[in-house]
Amino acid sequence: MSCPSLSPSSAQDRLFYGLRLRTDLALTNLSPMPREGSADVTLSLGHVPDHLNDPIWTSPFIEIGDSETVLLRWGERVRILARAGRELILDTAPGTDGADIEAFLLGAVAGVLLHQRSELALHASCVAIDGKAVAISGPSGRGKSTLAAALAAEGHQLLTDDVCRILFAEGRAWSVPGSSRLRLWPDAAAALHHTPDNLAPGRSGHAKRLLVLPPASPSPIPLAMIVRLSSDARVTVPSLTRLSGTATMARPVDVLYRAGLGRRMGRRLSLFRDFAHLLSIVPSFSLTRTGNMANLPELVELLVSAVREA
Amino acid sequence: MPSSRFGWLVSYPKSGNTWLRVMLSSVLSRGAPIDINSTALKGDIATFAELDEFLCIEASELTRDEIAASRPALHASLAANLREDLILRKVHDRFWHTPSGEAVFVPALSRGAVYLIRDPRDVALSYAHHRGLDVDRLIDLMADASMILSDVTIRGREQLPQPLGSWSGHALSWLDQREIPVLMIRYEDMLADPLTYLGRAAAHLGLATTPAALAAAIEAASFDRLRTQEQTHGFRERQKEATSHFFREGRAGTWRDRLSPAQIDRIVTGHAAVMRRFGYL
Repeated sequence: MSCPSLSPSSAQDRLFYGLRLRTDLALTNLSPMPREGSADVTLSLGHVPDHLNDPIWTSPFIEIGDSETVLLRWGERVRILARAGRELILDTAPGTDGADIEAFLLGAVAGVLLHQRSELALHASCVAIDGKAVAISGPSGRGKSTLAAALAAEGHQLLTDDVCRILFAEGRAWSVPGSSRLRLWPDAAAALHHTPDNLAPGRSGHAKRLLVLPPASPSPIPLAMIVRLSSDARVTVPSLTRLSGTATMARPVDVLYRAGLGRRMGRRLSLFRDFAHLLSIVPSFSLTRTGNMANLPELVELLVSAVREA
Repeated sequence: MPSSRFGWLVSYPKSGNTWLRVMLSSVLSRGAPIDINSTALKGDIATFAELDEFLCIEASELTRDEIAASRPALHASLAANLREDLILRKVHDRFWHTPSGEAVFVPALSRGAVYLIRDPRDVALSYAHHRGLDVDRLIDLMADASMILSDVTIRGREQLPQPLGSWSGHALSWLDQREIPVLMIRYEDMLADPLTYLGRAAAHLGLATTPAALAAAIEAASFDRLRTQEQTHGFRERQKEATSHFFREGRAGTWRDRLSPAQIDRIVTGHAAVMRRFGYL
């Protein structure tokens, strides 16, 4: 376990949700790219205050100073200041596990940064099935990462876990590859035939395990399907249903990445305009799983068949 | 809008909490029947998804201590974002404070709590069915002061971890605290005279009612109706390990025929003081 060290010899940028991230910190889980041109985002060590002056919104984890400044806290050891979607300043106690910092960067920090850049991001794990991206969205704890890992185990390429950046181009929506690290509860890891104790913790002191898969190639993949994943202990077989009309728009907070945060950062209109546009060009489905991990293969089969028939 | 809008419906598990939730939900809907699998059933328990939504963080990545420390902020955020005049919440937690000393059930935001207590001998039977455990194991759990519901260990959960403690400790934590006004109702009394006790619960939480509305709510939440709904459509809150229906018997005193003398003795020995205080001995 070590603090992320400054490595002055590093002359490579990192790919961060399709953005060019420039940093001298030794990040191990972001794909390197040759250092050239100007960066989209910089990450550097520096002083970050405990609190912002006159924040417009606070939680125990996040303070919003204004539309351009957000302070994020991760435990007692890590603070990050995100400015204008272009600059990240990291303040961390000596000895902090670098993996913890990367986990934070790839989740909450990426979410804030994308909101600051007025990008659309889904709260989804995304997998490419036969070249078609399928975003598996839903509230925390519904099994997004588990299903994505099960699909990856069948040979489908994981594009991202938990934060899924969407681009619009050529009249289509595209899924931008992000993190290829899946964080799984031990029972899910075991159901996927991993030995949980052989996997590193996703965060030190936390029960979730980290499954690191080969990163996807950086090219965005056309988004073919948005799946809202839910679980229902009352059902014995999983089901997949195409949504239509207002059902596609229901509870945007379940599909968008931290919609509430985006709204508080002043994104109310653009966020929902982009979301409505997305729903007008990509079909939505409701996927209900049983409460039983043993049904995971059926769930995978159901989704893969639907993508192939689409 | 007053700041004290939370009405906490508190009980140790399997003590009639869901029945009270259905009745109060019906009172809020002027006596209408309540679909137990819909959002018409008020009084949700705190979930990871709520922590995600209201505090804007990936809650499943938080440690147990971080989740505990954030609970008062979650309640404050719920109060700031929900529009209901009375925010009913189901609670199985004992009354507890964060490590920094804040009451999790924030007194300034609380209108009151209704504490349902049930004979622990019936609780042991009902809870054993609910969890799919044998009764002796359940009696162990009811004596365990460190018991936590939905703890973050090996699997993802919907509900946040809820410190429960022992059956006796749970009751005393709520009934002996002085920060939130508590109305204590015995499950057995509510079963015998629901009109009186539902009326008291509604009044304690500041709900204006009439005897006719209360009677309609009681009818809408009758055991037979709830049981029929569960048999027809299932109940989302039934645990997959359960060995019986969620709405199993809805009666008091079945322990007399179903517990062994040794089991009865273990419960009474472990909880005599509180059982005596609430008239169970």
